[in-house]
Amino acid sequence: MRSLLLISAASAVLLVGCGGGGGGSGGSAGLTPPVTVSPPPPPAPPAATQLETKAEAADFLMTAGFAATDAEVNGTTGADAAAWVRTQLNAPPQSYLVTLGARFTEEEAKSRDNTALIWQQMIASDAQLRNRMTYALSQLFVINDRDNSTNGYALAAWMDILDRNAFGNYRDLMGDVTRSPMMGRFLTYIYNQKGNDKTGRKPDENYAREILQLFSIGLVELNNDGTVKLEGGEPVETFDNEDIVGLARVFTGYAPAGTSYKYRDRYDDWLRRPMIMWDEYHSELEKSFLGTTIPANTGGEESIDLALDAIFAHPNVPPFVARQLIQRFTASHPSPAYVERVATVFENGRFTAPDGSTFGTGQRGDLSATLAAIILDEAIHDDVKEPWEGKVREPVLKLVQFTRTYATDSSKALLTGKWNSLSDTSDPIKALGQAPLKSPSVFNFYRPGYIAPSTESGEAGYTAPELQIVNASSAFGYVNFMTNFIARFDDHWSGILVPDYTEEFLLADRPEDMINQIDLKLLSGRMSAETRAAILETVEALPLRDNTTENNERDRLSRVFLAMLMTVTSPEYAVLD
Amino acid sequence: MSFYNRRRFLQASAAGFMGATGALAGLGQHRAYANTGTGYKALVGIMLKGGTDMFDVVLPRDQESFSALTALRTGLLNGHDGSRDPDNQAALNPINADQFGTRRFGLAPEISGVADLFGSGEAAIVGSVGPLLENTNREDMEAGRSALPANLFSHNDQRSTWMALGPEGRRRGWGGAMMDTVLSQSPQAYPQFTTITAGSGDVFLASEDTRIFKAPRDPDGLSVDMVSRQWLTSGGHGEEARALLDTYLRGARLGSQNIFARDIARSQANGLQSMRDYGDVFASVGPVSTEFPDTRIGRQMAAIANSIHIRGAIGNTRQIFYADQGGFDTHDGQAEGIVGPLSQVFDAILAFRAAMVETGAWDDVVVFTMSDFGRTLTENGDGTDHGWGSHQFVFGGSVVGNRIYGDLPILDPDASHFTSSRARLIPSTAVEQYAATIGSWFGLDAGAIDQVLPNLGRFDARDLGFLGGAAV
Repeated sequence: MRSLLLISAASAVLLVGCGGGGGGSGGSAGLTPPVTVSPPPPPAPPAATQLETKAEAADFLMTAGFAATDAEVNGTTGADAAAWVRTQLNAPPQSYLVTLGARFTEEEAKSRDNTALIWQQMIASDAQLRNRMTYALSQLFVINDRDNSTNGYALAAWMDILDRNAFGNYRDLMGDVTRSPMMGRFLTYIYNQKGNDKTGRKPDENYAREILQLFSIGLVELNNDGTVKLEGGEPVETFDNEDIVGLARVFTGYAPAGTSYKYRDRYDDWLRRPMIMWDEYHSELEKSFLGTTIPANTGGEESIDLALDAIFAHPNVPPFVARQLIQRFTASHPSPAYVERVATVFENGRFTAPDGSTFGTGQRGDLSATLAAIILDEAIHDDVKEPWEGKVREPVLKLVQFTRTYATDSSKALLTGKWNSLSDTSDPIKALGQAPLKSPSVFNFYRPGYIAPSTESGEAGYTAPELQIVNASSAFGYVNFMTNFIARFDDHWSGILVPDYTEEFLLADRPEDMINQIDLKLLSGRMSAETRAAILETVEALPLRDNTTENNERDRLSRVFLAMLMTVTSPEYAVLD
Repeated sequence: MSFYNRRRFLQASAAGFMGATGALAGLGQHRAYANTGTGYKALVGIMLKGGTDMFDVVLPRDQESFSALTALRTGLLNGHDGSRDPDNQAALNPINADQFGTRRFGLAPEISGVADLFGSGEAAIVGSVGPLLENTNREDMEAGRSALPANLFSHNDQRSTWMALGPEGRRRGWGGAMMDTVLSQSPQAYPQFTTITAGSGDVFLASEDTRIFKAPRDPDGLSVDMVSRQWLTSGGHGEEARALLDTYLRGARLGSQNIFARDIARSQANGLQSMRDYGDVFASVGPVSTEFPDTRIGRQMAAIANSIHIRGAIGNTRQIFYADQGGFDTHDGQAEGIVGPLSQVFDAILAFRAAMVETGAWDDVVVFTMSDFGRTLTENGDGTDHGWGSHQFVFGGSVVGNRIYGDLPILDPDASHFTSSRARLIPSTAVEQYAATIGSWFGLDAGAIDQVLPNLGRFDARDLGFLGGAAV
C-alpha cells in the first residue's frame, strides 16, 4: 500500500506512451488521390476513414489494436486510418521463441507456463495490429497449452506460427498449423497411422473433422455473405462421414521431428520444428473427400498439400473466415453485406480502402487485405450507430486495454517471474473466465454463432459470441479481479505492471476533470451521462481529508480507484460500438 | 419474507427485460398447479463432454462377447493391461438379466462403487440411447430412407442435440424448457434459483423465463465490495461512497442505445445481486458436512449439494441443476486417458449421494448423465473416434434400479445396429424418451411433456420406466 502511494505521488514519468510505433508516418502516401484524375476536381470530401478528431482516432486504435495512448492518438489524428494500417502491416513478426530464449535459460524456458509471453506482447508491443491479429487467429485455430505446459517452448513455437502468418496467406497458415506438433498433439494425429485390417486399427478422424468444421468451411454450405444456403428450405451439409473417413487417411504418418519414427529418436527441440512425415505409416489407400480424390499410393506430404489445396478451394472458406475475423475485431453480429465485402476481399486478395489506397497481393486468402477490409470498412467508420453494431469485448481485451493505458513502460518491459500471476486467468469466479490459449477445448471459450438466451439481443436473433462467458459468476469474478488489479490491495500483483495514476491522482480534488481524463483514456470520450453521473456522485461522497498528507493521498487514490473501477465495469467499456 | 420481496423487486427492476416480458407476466395468471405437487424435487444433469466411450465402461463379461470386443480393440485393451478383463470388472447382476440371454455385463473397475449402487437399486443403465428423428437402422440409413439428426458426429452439435434437441444455436434446452412449464403452472414458483449450473453455462438450462444462476463452489464471503470495504471504511470514512459503489455495481444502467451494452448491464447487475442473495442465504444455513473429492466435478457436485441443502431457505420446490466434466474425447491414449475423468465423475456422484442422504433429499433427486455421443466400436490404434448412440446412467432414491433399460447391443460390427463405417452405434432409444421419463417423474403432465419434447410422439414408449412410471 505504502509503495503504491509513493509511486503514484512521486512519479514524474506521467504517460510517455509507447514511443513512435503508432505514429502515422505513412500518412501522406495514404492521401494520394487516384491517378486517373484529369480535370482539376473540387476538393474531395475526406474519406470516411479519415480520423478527424482525437475521439475518432482513439476509437479506431481501440478497435484495431488494444488501446490508445496520448502519443498514438496524437500521431493518428488528422490522418487516414489506412495510413496507420499500412504502417502496422510493416511491423515484422517478433519471434516468441527468440524472446523466450533471450529471457530464460533452456531449462527455465522448458519448465514454465509461458502464457505471460502472450500477455506481454499484447500489453507492451508497438505492433498492435499484428498482435491483435495473432490473438484473433489463436481463437480460430484453437489449441490449449494445458497439455503442452510441460514444455514452455510449445507455446512460443505455436504463437510464432500464428504471428508470422498473421499478415500472410490463409493457405500457408493452414499448412504450418497442420504440420505443427502442437496441433498434432492437441488433435491427436501425431503418430496417427494408416489402417490395419488385422488389428482393426483405423486412422484417427479427429483432425480430419475439426479442420473442416472449425478451421476452414464449417458444417453447412454458406452464401458469400456468411448466411446459410438453403435448398428446399433446408441447410446443406458440407461433408458427411465418408468424407471424414477419406480425409482421415491423409493425416496419417506424422511423427515428431527426429531421426526415426520412434519417439525415443525425436530431436530435443522437436516442438520447435514441423512434424516429419513417414510414408511407411501413411495410408496408401485412395483418399476421397469433398469431391476430391487423391489416388492410391500418393505419398504423405503430397497428400497433405493436395488435401489442404482442396479444402482451401472450397467456396465456404472466404465467408467462414471473414465472419469470424470480423467478430474478433469490430462486430459481434456483422451484417451480411459487411461479411460479403470482406469475403470478397479474401477471395480476390486485394482491398481498396476508402481513401483509394490498396492492400494485398491479389492472391486468394491474403490476410493483410482481409484485415484492412475489416477495420477500414466504410460502414464501421460512418457516423451511424445502429443498436446491433459494435463488438462485445471479451475480458482479455478489457484487461489489456487497461494495462496498456496505465502500466508504466518499464514495468511492462520487465518480464519477471511475477508475470506468472497472469498465466492463467480463466477461472471465472476468481479471475477473468478467459486467458490466451486456455480454452477448455478446440471450440474456444465461445462460439461464433452463439445467441444468448434470455437477452434482448438473443430475442432479436443477434449473435454475440462473447456473451457466452458473461454470467453471474463471471460478472462477480471480473469485478473482484479488476478491483484488485486496479487498486493492488494484496501482494498478488506487486512488482509487475505497476500502474501510474499520477494524472488522475493530481485531479482527484476536481472530480469532473478526473472523470473526463479517465473517460478520454479508457472510453475515448464515450462515457454515458448516466455512468458519469453515478461516478461523480460516488467520488464526491468520499471527502478528501486534509488533516494529514497520508490521509489526503489515501483519499485521492480512493477516488481514482472508485472512478476507474466504475468505468471498467460500465456497459460502454464492455461494448465498443 | 423480505428476502423474497427483495428478489421480486430485483426481477422487476434490474433484471428488466426478461423479468417484465417473461416470468412475471406469467406469475399473475394463477393457473392451477397441474401435478407439479408441493414436495421438493430436483434434477441433476451431468454432461460428459467429448463423447464418452461407454463400450469401455459398460463391458461384456461373458467370454464370447469379451472375445468379440478384444478382436475389435486390440491396441486399446492392451493399453488397459487386463483391467477390462471379465475377472477384473465390477460385476452387474441386473434383475432383468434374462433379457440378454447368456450375455453378462460388468463395469470398468475404477467405478466399482457404481456397481454397488446399481446392486442396491439406486442406479440404472439406459442402453443405446441417443439423438434420433425416427427409429432407424443401417439399411434404412444407408438407403437414405431415414430422417437423421443434423450434423451427426460433430461434438458441439450433438452435445447441443442431447441438451436442446437440435444442433448448436438452440436457445432453449429441455432442462430449461421443463422449468418454464413448471413456472407457468405454479403461481408461487419464483424464477430465480430454479435453474442452477455448477459448471459451464451450456444450453441445457437455457429457457425463456429463467435466468441460469451459477452456483459458486465456495459461497463464503461472496461479496464484490469485500476489498473496497476494507479500503474505504477505516473509521467510517468513505462508508457512503462504498454504499454508492455497491448500488452502482448491482444496478443495471440501461440508457445505452446499444442492445449488447444493455444486455451486459442487465447480466452484470443480475449476476452480482443474485450472487449476494445466494451468499446471504447460504450463510444462514451452512454447507453439508459430507466431504467431496477435490476435483473440478467434485467441487461442482458439492456446490449442487449445498444448493439443495439450503432448499428450505430458498423456497423453490422444483430445481434443475447442471454440471459437466471434460476429457472424454479419447482419440488417442484412451486407456490412460479415460480412467481419470471417469472415476472423477462417478466418485463425485457417490459423494453427492452421501450428501443427499445427509440432507434427506436422496429420494427427491435424480442424477443422470448425458454425453456428446458414443464412440466407434472399432479403434484407431489406441483410441476411438466420434460415434452416435451410447449408454447413460441414472441415480437416485427414486430410481427403479438394478436394471438395464433400453438395450445393450451385441458387439458385432456387421449387425444392423451399427453403421458400416467404423461401427458407430445407431441408438434404439431417443433422447426424447430418456428426457420424458425424467420429466414425468419431475411432475410434468403429458401436455407439458409434449410441449417440451415435440418429437416424442415419433417413438413408442413415452416412459422408459426407470423412475417408476408405467413403462408404456
